[in-house]
Amino acid sequence: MDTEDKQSCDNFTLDTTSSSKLNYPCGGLEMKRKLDDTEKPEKSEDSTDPCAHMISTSSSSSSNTIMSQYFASECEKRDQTRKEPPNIGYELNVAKAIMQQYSTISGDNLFDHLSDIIKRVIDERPPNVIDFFEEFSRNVREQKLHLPERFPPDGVFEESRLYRVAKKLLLSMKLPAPEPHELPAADEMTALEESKSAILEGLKLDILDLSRFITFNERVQHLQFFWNQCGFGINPDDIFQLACAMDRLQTHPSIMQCRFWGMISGLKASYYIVEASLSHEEVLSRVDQMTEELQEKRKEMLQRIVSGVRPTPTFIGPELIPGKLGWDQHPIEEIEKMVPEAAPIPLVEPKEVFSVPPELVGAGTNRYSYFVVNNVSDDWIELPMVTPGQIRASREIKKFLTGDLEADIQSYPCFPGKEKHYLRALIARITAGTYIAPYGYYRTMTKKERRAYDGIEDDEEEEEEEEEPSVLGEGEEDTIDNDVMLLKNEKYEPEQLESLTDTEKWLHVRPNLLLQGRVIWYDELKAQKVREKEIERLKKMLHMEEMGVEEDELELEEEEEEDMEGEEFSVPEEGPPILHPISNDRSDQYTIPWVSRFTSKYTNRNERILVMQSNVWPGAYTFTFEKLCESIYVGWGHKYVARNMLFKHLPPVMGEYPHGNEDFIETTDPTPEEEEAYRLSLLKKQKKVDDGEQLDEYDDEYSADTNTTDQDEEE
Amino acid sequence: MNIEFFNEGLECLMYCGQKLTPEQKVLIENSLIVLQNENRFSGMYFWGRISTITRDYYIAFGYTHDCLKDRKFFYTLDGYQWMMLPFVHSPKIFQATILCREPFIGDPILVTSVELDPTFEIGANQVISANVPERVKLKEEERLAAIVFIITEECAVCPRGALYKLTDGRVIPNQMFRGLNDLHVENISNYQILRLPRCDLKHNLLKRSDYNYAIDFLDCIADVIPLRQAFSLNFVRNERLVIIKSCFWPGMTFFHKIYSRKHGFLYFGNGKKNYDISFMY
Repeated sequence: MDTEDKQSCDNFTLDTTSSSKLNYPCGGLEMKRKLDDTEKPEKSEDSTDPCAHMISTSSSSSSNTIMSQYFASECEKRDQTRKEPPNIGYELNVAKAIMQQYSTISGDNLFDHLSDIIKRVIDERPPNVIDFFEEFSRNVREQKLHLPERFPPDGVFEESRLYRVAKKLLLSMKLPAPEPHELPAADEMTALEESKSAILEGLKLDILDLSRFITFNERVQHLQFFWNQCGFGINPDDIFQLACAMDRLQTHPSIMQCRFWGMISGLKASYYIVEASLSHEEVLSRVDQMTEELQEKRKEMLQRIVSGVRPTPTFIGPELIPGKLGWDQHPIEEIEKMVPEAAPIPLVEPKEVFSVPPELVGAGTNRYSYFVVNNVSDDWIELPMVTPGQIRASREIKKFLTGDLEADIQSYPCFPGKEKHYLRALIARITAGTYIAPYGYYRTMTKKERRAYDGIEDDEEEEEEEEEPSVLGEGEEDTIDNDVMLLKNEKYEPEQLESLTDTEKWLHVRPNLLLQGRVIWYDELKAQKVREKEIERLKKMLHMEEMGVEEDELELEEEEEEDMEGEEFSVPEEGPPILHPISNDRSDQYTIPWVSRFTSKYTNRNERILVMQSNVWPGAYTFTFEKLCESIYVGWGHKYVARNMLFKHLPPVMGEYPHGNEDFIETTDPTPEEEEAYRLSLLKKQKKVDDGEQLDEYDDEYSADTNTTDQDEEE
Repeated sequence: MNIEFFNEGLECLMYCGQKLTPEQKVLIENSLIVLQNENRFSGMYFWGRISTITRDYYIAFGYTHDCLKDRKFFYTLDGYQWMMLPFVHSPKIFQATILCREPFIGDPILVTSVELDPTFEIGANQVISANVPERVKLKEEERLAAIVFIITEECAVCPRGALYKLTDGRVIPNQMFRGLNDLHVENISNYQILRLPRCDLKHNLLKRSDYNYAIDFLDCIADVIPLRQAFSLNFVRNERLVIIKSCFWPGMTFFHKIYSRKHGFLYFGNGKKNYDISFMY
């Protein structure tokens, strides 16, 4: 055995050129074989395959350590029967013992570590291991410390971070719970169908009626195919869940139809947004509620103005003292009667805060409602209505969305609302600016259809003549009605895609937002007059109630006032009509607001899709393919700026006192002598006052005195 | 993004809302493989797209020895003929690139003239004289090279441990990298900027208690000013995927799969820096 060992060692040293004889431990493999050999006689195992044995010894360090201790004692035994100095076996043992010294810090030893590394290298065969040897060795050690094999398998169980999410997702899909007694499948089917047909019968009329107005394409997975071809859209993993979520929303009774609007990224989470049109009943009930609320608010405001109750100032300036010098020597009764000589406390002047009213639900900017969600498995949250003030404010600021709907918006000028309002305003602006379709794709409703849409019964059969629905915004009517819903043109014949690259061929299909923040212009001046009149009327009523006069006279007066109207006439703000070509778009930041791209330039010319992308709102895309045209927005929700946003500056600091240049006259400082003289003169005056002089005189004299001193100085 | 997992990477990066059309995907992936082999690159990466008014630029880069020092950038307008981006030395070109307001046109030989900022001579806190602002002729190809360089320098991200510094100073991708684990993945200081370090080595090392000379030599994205606001970190896909977006360069997206060595970044944007960042929080 020993001789064999020696021979193999000798062979090894001869073969390798790099390691000298003194460097035995370098050949790790060799060493292991040595270890193997020494083990064999001691344990008296008949292991025919040394390789398998080697792996078993090196894999678990615990067995190694026990073994090595045992081995050390063996070595001492051998010491007595030591051979002559050039003894390879002995030298090897010494070297190994050095390497097996335990670290006082980690309790590890180099020998185990090296054998682990070698095992890993041979098992895993990582590429270029020599380049990363340090890193590899570090990994091996790290894993040794982390190895939880010795724990009982379920002693410590850490909940995976995926578990929570997965569970939530499953819950959100509202899967049918397994029932205790299972119905036969056939029964279930028939029951389902029966109920379905019952529902269908009940709704048949409605469905037929409303199907004409379905303009949304709610089939997300169908659209996903096209988005995929166009090179944008949302992740394929989410699309199925999104379709499920939209299905949940669609089945809600108050929603007529919905479509996927797009995605806006936020810092912590992004928003998936769905555009929905509400059912008629829902719209009507909401409009009622809204008008009620608005009127109540208005009434309250008017009442406050009329009654003249001013809010008391929360902060009263410098303390006022009664207007006599030496007042503190008067008795209290007299002081109470005294009137302060300073100006009265300025009261807060209530300013009219009537803002431009928002458009009603189902009209203008609030025609559709929007539902958002951070994660497709969550429940949809409806965004609030948008007000013109919010739209105007959102144009002047640029903010990152955080992903939390209730987050505050800190900005200048102050944004009236939370993040959900800001998001809603962004959606309104993006929709108004970037929704386009080829010429002739949409048409306006005919009068008949509009009546049907509005839910008015079409009793009168008078207007039988079919009027041609126009595909351009400019109708015969003089007034442009922007606030209309468009219908898909059944007669639309798609043009060649090559010719559609011309921006002349594309029309805006959503009403333009005026600078005022509304679709339909609101006459602020007129409304103000009406308000003023109403305030007057209310005041009079109040007055008359006090006087006990009957109301008949009041109405007479009102009639008189009506003639006054029309003196001042405000010019209504006009924007481009709905369905105007996008080639008319102007942007002060970007010279070319729209660019077109084909999804395939060189290869597949038959099935390519045309994509129009907006440069003004980066991330807004519209694609068209045959009879399909859809818009989507995926981006940060930031409008393009050429360099940086022109934020509004803070106003100059308000002056505490109104003053002109002449209020501050530069003079030289008085000398100590003059100050002394002034002090003496004051003392003199004080004496006089004590004698009973009036304050007024004192004041006059004092001012005269100062005047003279000024003159003196000037001279 | 490494072209080894081109398709998978694109899918992961779709959380920014953009990807390539099927035609571009096929063209770019295959032409990049060809480019890699013809140039004997040991690593080839797709960098992203800079959208223009006419034709978009697609950018890629590769390296032979050192994945930070000898990166070579390429651009293409059609998706398969790659041209090398010039190496820009002149600081004036960089300044002009930063100041240029116009969007990219899509014509590499187009020359625009950009007015630089006026320079001032200042002595003892007083402006002595102002020079007339210089006009610089800026070729779009150079502008493209400069903007790619700037974007890469400022917001190209890699997870900690993905790059490895050899003893001879070369930097190569770490073959032993097995991905961040779910404890490390949330911490923004476990991500580094893919550039030659600008901070002092000591500074970078001392930030960590478990520092490693071969790994922690790179700058950490947690140090980018404004602190903790320059990047936004999100979890998606059942929290199995990390997405980091740059707030300075909207369109720059980075992904990393937990427990996997797959990571990468792409830029899909118009090459405009967001200078309003400090007003946007």
